[in-house]
Amino acid sequence: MKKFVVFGLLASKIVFGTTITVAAAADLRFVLQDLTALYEKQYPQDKLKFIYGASGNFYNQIRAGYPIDVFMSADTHYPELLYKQGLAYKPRPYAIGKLTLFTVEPNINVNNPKLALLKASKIAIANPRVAPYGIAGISTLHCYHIYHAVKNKIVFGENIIQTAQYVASKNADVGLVSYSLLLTPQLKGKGKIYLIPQACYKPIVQGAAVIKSTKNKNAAMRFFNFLYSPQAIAIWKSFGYGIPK
Amino acid sequence: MDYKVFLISFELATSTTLVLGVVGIFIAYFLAFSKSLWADIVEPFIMSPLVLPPTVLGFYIIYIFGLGSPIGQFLNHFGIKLVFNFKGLLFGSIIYSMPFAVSPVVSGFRSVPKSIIEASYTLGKSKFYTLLRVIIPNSKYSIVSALVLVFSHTIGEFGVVLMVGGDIPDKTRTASIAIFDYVQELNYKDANITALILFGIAMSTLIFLQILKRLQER
Repeated sequence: MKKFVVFGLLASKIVFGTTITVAAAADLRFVLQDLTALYEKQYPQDKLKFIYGASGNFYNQIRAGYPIDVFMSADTHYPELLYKQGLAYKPRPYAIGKLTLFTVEPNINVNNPKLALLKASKIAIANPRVAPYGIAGISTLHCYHIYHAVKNKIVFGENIIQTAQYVASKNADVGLVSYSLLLTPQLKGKGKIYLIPQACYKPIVQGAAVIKSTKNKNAAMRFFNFLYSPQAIAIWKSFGYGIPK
Repeated sequence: MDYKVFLISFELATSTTLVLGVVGIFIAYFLAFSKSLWADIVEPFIMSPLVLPPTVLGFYIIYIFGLGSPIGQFLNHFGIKLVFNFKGLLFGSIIYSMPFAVSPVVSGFRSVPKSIIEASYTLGKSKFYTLLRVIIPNSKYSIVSALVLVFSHTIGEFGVVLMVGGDIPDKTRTASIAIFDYVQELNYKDANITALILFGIAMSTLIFLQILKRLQER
């Protein structure tokens, strides 16, 4: 039995080659499924594994020695900090996220976002202390001058996908979530969306970096560079992301 | 559907049970028979995971043993890492499940009639021999139920394993964390399958304990 396990491990190593472990911001959960399919077709020797969560949590974990190869944040702040601390190679922005008002309640009119937010009994926003989309959400409320009027109705999701789930499951009537999540098969057409004007929040420029402690630097760099390839950019765009210049 | 998560949960639960099976008995022996003040000081610490949020334990393990701390850095020089790997999971689980390993055994040991323990001493047998041949055999039901509880409690662990293990696929992603991930992915089908399997494991261990209790009462 033990021999078979060892043999199996060896065989999987030969078949799959290197495993690249990526810690990715939660808004990327669905776009990365498409990117992974493309990447593994181009580089069949690499196998990608993902952990999704809030960028700030990953930042803390990486500082504590988190054994991952690539970090895809929902902002540029955390990868830059890791770079400055000598824990990551030079980061580069890969996409610009958009913030959306989202509801599945039929009688909420999203085309008047201010009124929709004021009338809602619960507003789902990602935790701004660890999720960059949460910071954008709070700044949107300030932008409409309704933060103080609605702040007691905010429910915080641990990350942006949990926030979208609060809305999709009707536990919150409206939410401020990432546009990319609402273009996924699971949520597409499930409700009404309104793109928050860019002027209301600081652009959500999302950056990635290869982590210095990686044991597979070549493969990690290969995946990192792939994120900026023309084929990858087409996928980013199809999920509603802007492309950094 | 990721079946590796069950393997990791099972490996973790088995290792935790093996370690606590041995360590738990000695701690229980100390707590059950020691009259020193130390026993009264140690007991609340051993029992604290029962009432502490798992996040408290998770936080301190990362804070103390992570690479960000001097202790973590120091241990790292000797190749010891207790955060974000299987060893860390095991370390966290051992602490977290300690009360379940100790508490039933303490009450089992205390209910062993004093007379037979003293009879063993009178016959010139050592304390260790008495523990091994008199006290343990007379508390076998408590010990087995402690081991079963530790096993199923470790399978059911979430907060500590998430924080200390870091949810790394194929390494520290256990079945209970996989459910959390599936739900976030809106993949309710796999969440459901994984949850049902865990429910089955939990129920079978509890039914086993019930049977054990009946056997003991006979």
